Amino acid sequence: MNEGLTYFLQQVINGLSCGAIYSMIAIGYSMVYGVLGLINFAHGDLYVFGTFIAYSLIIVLSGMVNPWLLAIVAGCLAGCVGMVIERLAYRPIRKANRMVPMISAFGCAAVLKTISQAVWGPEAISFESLSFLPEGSFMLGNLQVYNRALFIPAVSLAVVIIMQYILNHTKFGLGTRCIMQDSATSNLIGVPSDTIIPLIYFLGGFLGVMGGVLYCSYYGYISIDMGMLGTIKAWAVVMLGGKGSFWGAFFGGLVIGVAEAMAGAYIGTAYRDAVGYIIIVVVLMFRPTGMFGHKKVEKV
Amino acid sequence: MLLSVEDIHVFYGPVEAIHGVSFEVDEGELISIVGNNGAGKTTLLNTISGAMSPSMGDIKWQGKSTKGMGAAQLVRSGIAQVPEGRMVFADSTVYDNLLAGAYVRKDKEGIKKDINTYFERFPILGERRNQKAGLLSGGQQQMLAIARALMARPKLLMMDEPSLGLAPVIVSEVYNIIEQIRKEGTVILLVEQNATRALSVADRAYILVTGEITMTGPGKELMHNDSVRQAYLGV
Ligand SMILES: Nc1ncnc2c1ncn2[C@@H]1O[C@H](COP(=O)(O)OP(=O)(O)OP(=O)(O)O)[C@@H](O)[C@H]1O
Ligand SMILES: [Mg+2]
Repeated sequence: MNEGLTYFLQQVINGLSCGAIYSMIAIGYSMVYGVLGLINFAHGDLYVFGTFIAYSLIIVLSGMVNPWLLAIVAGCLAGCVGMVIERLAYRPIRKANRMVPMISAFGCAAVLKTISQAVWGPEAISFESLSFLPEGSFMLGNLQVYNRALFIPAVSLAVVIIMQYILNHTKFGLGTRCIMQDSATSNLIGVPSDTIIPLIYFLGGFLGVMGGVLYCSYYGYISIDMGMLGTIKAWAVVMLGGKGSFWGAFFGGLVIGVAEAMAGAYIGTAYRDAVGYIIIVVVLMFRPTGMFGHKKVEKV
Repeated sequence: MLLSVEDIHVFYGPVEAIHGVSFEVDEGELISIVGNNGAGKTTLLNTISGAMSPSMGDIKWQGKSTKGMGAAQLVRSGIAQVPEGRMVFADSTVYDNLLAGAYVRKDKEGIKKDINTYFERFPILGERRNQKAGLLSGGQQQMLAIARALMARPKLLMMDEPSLGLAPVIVSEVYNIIEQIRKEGTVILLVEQNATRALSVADRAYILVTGEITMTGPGKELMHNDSVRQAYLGV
């Protein structure tokens, strides 16, 4: 294999792991987006908050408990915070103008960010030693493949499959699909939105933390600035994949991950993060319902 | 009395849409409420369904106030609604739409049996059970919306303008179904702009004008009332 090709493939592999992390963060975000009908600006700060909790749990209980178990505990806590946010900041204004919940989401984001900053400080903290990801690598021709580059997409794929199963084969999934399409009608025909919507927020927070743990492990640090960046990337993923679509979130994440890796490798690292923004703008201009999204006929 | 609505006032923010409406629905009845655009028909049904709450007055269902009951709880207790504009879940299959209508039920076997019953009764729904509901024609969607509401096994079926936007032939078909459902023992509360149809099937009817009931009587009698004929039947 020539060097150029090896370099290219290496970038693709990097991009896929990175993208699979975006997928994870975006799945929960996509569900909440689906029911809320809007960008949830609190998602990013919630997943960072939960990931900080996972970090602290691991530091405190270092070596005694499997880190993934602790990540799940932190995910559940973040899920509960998500439910509280739904109860306090969204439910009272569910019927209000769409701008209103968007503003209250910004409010929640600010509160979570302030708490995170007060507890864990404004500096980036090393996440390297927390051993969430498998070590080691192997050679494929002259391509070095890290085990974690297989592990991350595998976790993400498993989550998509599980979520898709829940959505299509459980009663909760049926209710979720109804609420995502039309929450007012769902309510009228007896789908209890007041129990289903909090569960969707729970899953949003929980999966966000799973993604957050992968994200921070992959980059080796955690910082409160990851909140806004995560929100933007998850938004870009959902714009590409279509809100409420898990496979859309999965492939959307991979596309963005690879596009970022390409931009970083061939244009310059400074352009990496621009990719997400460019995708948001382009998709909004040409296909506002996303790659996998459906056109919705709105009654006027 | 199965349902009694007692002097309710309903607001959208500061705007009062229902100004003290009272009416009753008894076992075995088919009641129509006729009113023009914006009279408050949908608001009334949504208030009975628990999606909105009256600021004054009370609604009694089987003798008990429905205050504090959520919409899902009311469906479970036997009030189902076919919403205005049908509102089927367009991206879900016909089958899943029916399943969603039975959300408040727990008897899996009974649910399956009922779905099959409706597939036999509306063969087109059976043929298209795995197709997205959004691909059905307007009339077919109306059948689906009716079947979806019936999946909750309601005692009272409320229908919001079932003839809206449908061709006359289809409207006749829908009204045949309504009469059929009523014969099977389900109480029906129908709201319509289409006064001819609604009055001709009703045991009793009410005329709703900008949030107030102005007239009531047997359906056939109202059909022959001069002011009703002028205002709603275009004669
Ligand atoms: N979401 C809302 N916010 C504010 N006002 C509303 C809202 N929905 C309805 N209204 C007002 O309440 C009144 C009653 O509306 P409603 O929809 O109940 O009438 P309707 O009889 O069902 O009319 P239509 O035949 O057009 O369906 C109208 O004046 C309407 O403008
Ligand atoms: Mg109406």
